[in-house]
Amino acid sequence: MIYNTGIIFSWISFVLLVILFFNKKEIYTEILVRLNLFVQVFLFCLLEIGLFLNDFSISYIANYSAESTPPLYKFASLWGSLDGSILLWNLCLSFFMYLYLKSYKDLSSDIDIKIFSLIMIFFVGYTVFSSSPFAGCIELAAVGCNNSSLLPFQELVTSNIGRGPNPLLQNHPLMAIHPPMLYIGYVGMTMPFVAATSRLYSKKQNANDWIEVAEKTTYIPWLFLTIGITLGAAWSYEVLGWGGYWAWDPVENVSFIPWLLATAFLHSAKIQKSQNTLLNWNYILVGLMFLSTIFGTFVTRSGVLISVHAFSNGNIGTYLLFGMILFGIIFIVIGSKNVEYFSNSKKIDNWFGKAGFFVYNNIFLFSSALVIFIGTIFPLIYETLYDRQITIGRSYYDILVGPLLVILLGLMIFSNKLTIKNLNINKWFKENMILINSSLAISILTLLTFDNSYILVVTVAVSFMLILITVNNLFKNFRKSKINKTYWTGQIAHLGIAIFAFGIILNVSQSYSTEKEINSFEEFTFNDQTYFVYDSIEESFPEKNVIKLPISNQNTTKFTSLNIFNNSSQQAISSPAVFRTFINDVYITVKFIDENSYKLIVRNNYGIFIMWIGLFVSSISFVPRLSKNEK
Amino acid sequence: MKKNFIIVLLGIGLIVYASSIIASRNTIYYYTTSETLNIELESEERIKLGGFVVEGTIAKDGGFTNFTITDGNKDIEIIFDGFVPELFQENMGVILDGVFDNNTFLADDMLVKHDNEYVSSDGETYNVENYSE
Repeated sequence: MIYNTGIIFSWISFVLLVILFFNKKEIYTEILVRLNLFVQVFLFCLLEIGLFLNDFSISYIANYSAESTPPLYKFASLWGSLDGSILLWNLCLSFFMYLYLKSYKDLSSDIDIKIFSLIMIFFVGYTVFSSSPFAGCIELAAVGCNNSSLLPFQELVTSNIGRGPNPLLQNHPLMAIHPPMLYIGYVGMTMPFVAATSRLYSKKQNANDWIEVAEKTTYIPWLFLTIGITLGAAWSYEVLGWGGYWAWDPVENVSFIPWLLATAFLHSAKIQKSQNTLLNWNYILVGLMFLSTIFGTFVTRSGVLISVHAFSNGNIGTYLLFGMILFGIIFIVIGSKNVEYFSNSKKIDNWFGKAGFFVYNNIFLFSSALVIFIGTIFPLIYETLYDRQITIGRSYYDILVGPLLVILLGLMIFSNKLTIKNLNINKWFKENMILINSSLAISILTLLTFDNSYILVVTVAVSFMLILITVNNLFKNFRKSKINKTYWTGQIAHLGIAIFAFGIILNVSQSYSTEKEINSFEEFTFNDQTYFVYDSIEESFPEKNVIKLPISNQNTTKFTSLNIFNNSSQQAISSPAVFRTFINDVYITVKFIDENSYKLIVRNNYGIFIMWIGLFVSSISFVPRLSKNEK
Repeated sequence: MKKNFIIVLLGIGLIVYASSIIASRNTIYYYTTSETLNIELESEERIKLGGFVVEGTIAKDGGFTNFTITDGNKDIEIIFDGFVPELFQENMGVILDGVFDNNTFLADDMLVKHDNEYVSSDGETYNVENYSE
């Protein structure tokens, strides 16, 4: 029932979009967009209903959900795997199409909705022709489903039990929120792309209006991308128990690349708006932002990460690659039709004014994105050329991206006072003398306290200067209404990044760890604190067994636990016990348990809480944008 | 216009060149299990060996973890003495650092590549530590 309805309505959505693409009458546009949104919401609910009813005749549900799965994770199973996440992707896309229609549409032409619908035809096409979460199961596996059919009204077989979601997915509620946030961020990048291409396609006299729309529509996905990446890092640190939050893993990299490009664009768009320069560069950035989100999906979904040879096995890889080429061509063709317009771009005169600094900002952000991109694809290219598998060490990113980000931090120091004219460095120094001196004092203090590298001292100095200057500026000028609100969005985001940078440099340079072998009811000392280990407790749930080990320090008891999932043969996920202070975390995980003796890994992680504060501050940078006084 | 274009292209070229050089200096090379058949190793020569953990072969032996890895053609037994990453499991891609002792490989360092079986099913968001030491 759900299977037939789902497949038929996927087709209906596809047909609606095709009609929308060829539609010539403006009055139908809104109706079609609304209908499409309605169908996508319906499909989303339908699959959720299937998940809650444990309809194991649907292949996707049999493979990625189980009867014993708790409700929250059942709900989240919808985006637990490729086919379902494309469904969520489509829902976001149809919502953004509606939002675009309502708020940003070019009233003189329908071309923007046409480009939008073309992009959506591409993604809905995948669920219709290639692989659908509603596909019915026609051949059972030992557990779950082995083969499925995309056609409606087939004879189905129903598996008795489901395979259940990936244990990693059902370990913590954060995992249910983090992927949709990232998807909204990814999918939202479609809006600036549509704005740029459509408005330059139907170019009129005031052609610069595309940048306004593109900038406005970039901010929303940028915000969600920030939140999504933050939640991913938080989940990985607070739940996963390997002690880290970022590993320069390809999967993380491809979410960071669009973020860097979008950040660059949010800056350079301002320059175009005020000084009518960087026109071509902004157009390129918008295109790269959009293509990088498809590239990200391609990298993570096509299997190229395992090996380039795995690529040919999956069809999503080829499909997405085709999409990238198709949208890339559309982008280039529309761009090349506007060469004349781009040549109107004014020259930048003041290299120490706003324009100059924003260009530097763009150079370093773009370089970071490029470096990360190369690091991500380097193993793939290497394997193609030499038929040898390699991985890129972490040091690659530390050497290249680290310094770039420190330079960016340095540039932010000047951001509160930039005008179109050149910055008067002498005057700037005089005005901020006290702040500069105090941050230098702090960095000298750091140098004396921690016997450490120059990068630590430089980062501490720069981040403190940035924090002091921004906070000072906030206190002095926030009430003044003449300053526009995007300025404060920027300042708050910068403040968050500065706090974050301070936390991360503490973390990277100061953290250390040891292993402790210990029995029940014994205590150990670490970092001048005493920790008492109790006996382990075993708890059983329908979907997992949990071994909890209580550890107490000064009347606080925390658990470090090992989660063993029934549906996974070997995989045990350990969660840490975290004793947190403002400056450091004592982070304890259990490595293995043998009767009453345990091997614990004890880490002293500095700066984590400061990092979270920083990222939180950056995430609330949208608040000034909500204010009514339009400027 | 044209001058700027050339500067941007040169800049990008420079970054690509520099990062490729640095990338190739920071690569972790590894042999697949079948490749070890064709290479000459000095005794005690440390190499990196990559493969997938064979189902049902993981066993604890005191402080050691024993298992077998394969690339589909050649199986090699591993004796691992070291930190076992949290996500270590069957069917997972691993890269081990160590030496050969006859036909067994003695390793003391492990990088885990994320689970093979779940690649299509979790994708971008859940395998946060594809390569974590």
